[in-house]
Amino acid sequence: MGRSFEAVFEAEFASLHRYLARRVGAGASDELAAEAFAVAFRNRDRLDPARPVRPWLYGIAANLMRHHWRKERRMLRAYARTGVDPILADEDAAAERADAHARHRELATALAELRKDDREILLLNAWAELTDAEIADALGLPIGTVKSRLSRTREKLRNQLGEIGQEAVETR
Amino acid sequence: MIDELLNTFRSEVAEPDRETAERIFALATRSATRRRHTTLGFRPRLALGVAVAALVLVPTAVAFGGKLADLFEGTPAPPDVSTAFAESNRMADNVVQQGFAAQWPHADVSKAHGVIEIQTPDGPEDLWAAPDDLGGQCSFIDFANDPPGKHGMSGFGDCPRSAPQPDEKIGFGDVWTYVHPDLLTIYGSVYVDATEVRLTFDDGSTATLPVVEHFFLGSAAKGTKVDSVAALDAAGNQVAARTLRPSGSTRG
Repeated sequence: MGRSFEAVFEAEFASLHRYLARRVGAGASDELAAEAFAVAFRNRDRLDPARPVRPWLYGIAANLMRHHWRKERRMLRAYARTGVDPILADEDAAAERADAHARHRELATALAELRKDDREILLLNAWAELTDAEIADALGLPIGTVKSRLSRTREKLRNQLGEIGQEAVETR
Repeated sequence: MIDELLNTFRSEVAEPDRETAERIFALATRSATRRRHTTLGFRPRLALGVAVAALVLVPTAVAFGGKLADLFEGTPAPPDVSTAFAESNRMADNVVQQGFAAQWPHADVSKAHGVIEIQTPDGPEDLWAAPDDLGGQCSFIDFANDPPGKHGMSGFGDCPRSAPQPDEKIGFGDVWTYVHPDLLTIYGSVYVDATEVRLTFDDGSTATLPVVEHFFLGSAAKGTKVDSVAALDAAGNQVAARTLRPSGSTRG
């Protein structure tokens, strides 16, 4: 870890916490972020300072997330079913937003239907903004696997969202 | 279109405020400093968490302790626990292969065995250990009644450094998780010859835990705060001590 731990925390915390909060809710994101940074802190002197810390940090988070993927899927399905985002349920305007975010319901449906490993790769790319190579580092996968699965997942999402959107129009 | 949709979906979640950042920074650095260990694989720890409480009461606002199971030490680790150690090794391989670190402890799974079992309100809580290839000893803590997952038991653990810092004679950790929300697991390692540790809580009360194979394990109610740990030899003499929270200070 080339920079001080404090600098790494400052640079990465908000992004990681938000990433986790979107996936499993604020409460669990506190726990997971604390643990991910605790692991990073404990091992700060073992890491190669020449390597970027972000993929490693998200790799830790991905492993911790394994215990929460059912919760994530449950929340996505609840959002898709009710139109109320359970992650924002405590916020005042959550229910009012329901109609305004019909596309997000569709997205939640599509994300919930993805294989959890494919969802992981997609969201590390889209939300954590990791490159294919960094995702490969984070998850310990060959880069070719990451590329092919990301491409396949995007295509699947594209098709599914198109179908859902069409169904929504037809039922109105 | 998909990226835009994903981005707006994420953007509905607000960035954490400063207070949250400071709290989590304190949690991450505090627990890590006190544990002074390396995590046993990445997976766990928090998924896990927990602890417990049990019923050996001390004159503190919280129940604490856990009744020790005398016949647990030396018990060969069951497959789900061995799988958890093996999974940790897989993570260690990944860390080294990806170049994040030059070396990382690997547990000898074939020698994984029970060290301490305590009884908690959520059932037995076990500490397992296995020697690692860097001269240390990896540990793994789980609740026996939790269902195993694809990667073995859920739990958390560490591979303490084979050569702890000269001034560090006691490693300490406390972990809470959503899985067992009412409990706090208290655990650690003692790097000097000791038979028990004495914990002093923030209300001034104390409790002792036996040291087995250099490890100790206890359980308390969520919110319990330990101010200091002292290691005692068989004669009751203090052979090491560690302050976890300066008197009068606050913790995140």
